Amino acid sequence: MGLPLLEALQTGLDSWFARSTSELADDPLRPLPGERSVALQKQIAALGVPLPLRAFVGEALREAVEAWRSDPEAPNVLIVLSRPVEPVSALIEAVLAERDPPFSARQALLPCHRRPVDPDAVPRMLIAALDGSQPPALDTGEPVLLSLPNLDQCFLRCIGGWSGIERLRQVILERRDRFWLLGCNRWAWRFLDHVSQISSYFPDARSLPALDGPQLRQWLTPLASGLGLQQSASGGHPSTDADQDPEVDQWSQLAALAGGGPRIAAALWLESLRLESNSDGAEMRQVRPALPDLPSLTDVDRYILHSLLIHGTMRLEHLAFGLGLPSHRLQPRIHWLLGEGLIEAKAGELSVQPSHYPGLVKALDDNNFFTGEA
Amino acid sequence: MIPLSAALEMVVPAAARAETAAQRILADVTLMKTIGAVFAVLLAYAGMFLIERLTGWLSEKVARRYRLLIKQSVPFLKGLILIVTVSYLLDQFLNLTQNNLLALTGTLAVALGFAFKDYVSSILAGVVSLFEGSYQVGDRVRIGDHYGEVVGYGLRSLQLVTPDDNTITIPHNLLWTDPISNANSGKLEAQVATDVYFDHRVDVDLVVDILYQAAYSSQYTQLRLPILVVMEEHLWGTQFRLRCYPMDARDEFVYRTDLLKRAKRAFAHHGLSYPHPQLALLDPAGPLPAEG
Repeated sequence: MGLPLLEALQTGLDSWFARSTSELADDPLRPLPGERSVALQKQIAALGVPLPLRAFVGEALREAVEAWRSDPEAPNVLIVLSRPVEPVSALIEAVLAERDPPFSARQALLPCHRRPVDPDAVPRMLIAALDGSQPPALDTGEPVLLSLPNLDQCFLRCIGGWSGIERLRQVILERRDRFWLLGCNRWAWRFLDHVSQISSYFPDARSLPALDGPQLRQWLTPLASGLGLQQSASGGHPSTDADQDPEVDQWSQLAALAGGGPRIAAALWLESLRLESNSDGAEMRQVRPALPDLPSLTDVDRYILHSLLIHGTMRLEHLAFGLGLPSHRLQPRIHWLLGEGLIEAKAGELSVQPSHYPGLVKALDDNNFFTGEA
Repeated sequence: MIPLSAALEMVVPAAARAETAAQRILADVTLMKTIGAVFAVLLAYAGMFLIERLTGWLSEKVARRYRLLIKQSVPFLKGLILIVTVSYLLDQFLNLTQNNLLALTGTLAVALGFAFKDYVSSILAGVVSLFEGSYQVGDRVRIGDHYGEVVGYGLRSLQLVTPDDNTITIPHNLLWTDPISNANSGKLEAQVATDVYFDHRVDVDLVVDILYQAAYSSQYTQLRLPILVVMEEHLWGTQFRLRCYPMDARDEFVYRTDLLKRAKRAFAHHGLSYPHPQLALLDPAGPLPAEG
């Protein structure tokens, strides 16, 4: 218990020191302008899923399917858990779309990508998809793989809101002639475990591994090279430690701050980029990454953020319905959270900003909320 | 010829004269001692004022997990200041020898026994409660007819803030005679009981399921703690009681409202029938009130 506490303390102090140094010093580096930042966000999104994660899921899937085919009593499901700000659905779809799939099977993706607008229709969406996936399999000997990469989009925290999940559990346990690949965020899984003891039925859910510094560097290098980055650890000032490679140290620190999550790391990396003006124009620099400060939150803010983390992404109407409040009472707090950069809105869906995730986990844990982190 | 008194002074040694001085209970009072005492009292008063204000402010600024910890430290910190100050004053103004102490406590016991009986009783009860933990700052307690959060813990009394935002001062010595109901006993969570009533012919499985789901779906619910629905029969209908915990005991009323809103919406959706009100008049016990 002592070691993680010390590590958390060290990480927090490092972040604080990096911010303070940047604020106190007469910093010649400027933050990126908004449009440049948005363009880079799009480039990060286009990077795809890091290779080590694809390899992990592919290997886990191959092992699980082989075990299921050789032993009728073996589990017929693989559940992949991720943080709510990491797109597990993109990872699963990438694994299934690989040219060299982990095994030969007839694959089907259940059409449950986004919650329907009507909150009452959320459980019905999954039930209808499950009923639609029931035609008798042709007796070809080829296994059938059904995948549901977004389990957190198939329920809502309201009365009757997780009945679809209970139906899914029943179908998986009854139809042992099919193999299921499910993706879910850890917070949603923890919630479903509280309300329907789902991990009693499926105890072998696998959490995605944390990426280390070199793996993150490998993933982000194409983008960093394209920007012509000149590394500048310790906040733009030359490092005094000659024995330590500042670049390696910087990526390792990024991995530690992000808890090994690629999207969190990418967001923190983006926030560590600066522009330096010189005679040739402006040049991009990378400074020591730091966790952003959390603003002072109200109780309502915490309930909103906790709900967003459980559901991954959600529409304002669903958020209000789940919290039992009218939308117009939530709107002011949503606008404030958007303004503070704690949440983001994309295509009408709200979600937590990845760079704030580590800070929010601690803040919610300290306020007696359950979290998806161990 | 030497006078007798002078002869005695020569015969009786200085140590014996000092012993005579030590037998006096009160020490010599000087101007410096008086100024020091006044300064010590003012310092103690300022210290206790600062502790109360500072901890009150800080406990509302930090995360919930640390709120009660900070609040519960107030009586101990104030007690520490009191002990140090009183010890200092006693040392300055009294000759605390063994005999003097006996004489002093005897005198005090008689004086306090008659004049300040209730006051001393309250102080002692306050000290006992501090170690017994019957109530602490931040707890939600019911003492007599009063229910609320303990927000102050003084030498003689405690302060409760009721749900209607009234502050009630209750002497500690009620601890000797009155039962004290503590909802959270130093923890953040306190059980909330929510009652709903239905006709005898209602589908009980459906009602129980809805009540469980109402608790699971409320954002206030502490899901790490047990949730339970119990039933009780009355002449006029069936009573269902949902027992669950909010993450913060302070939310108990808004939590109960949220549970009822969610549950009643679902009851209405399923068209569940409520009990006949006229039959309630025949029941001598009547419906049980919800407990906090």
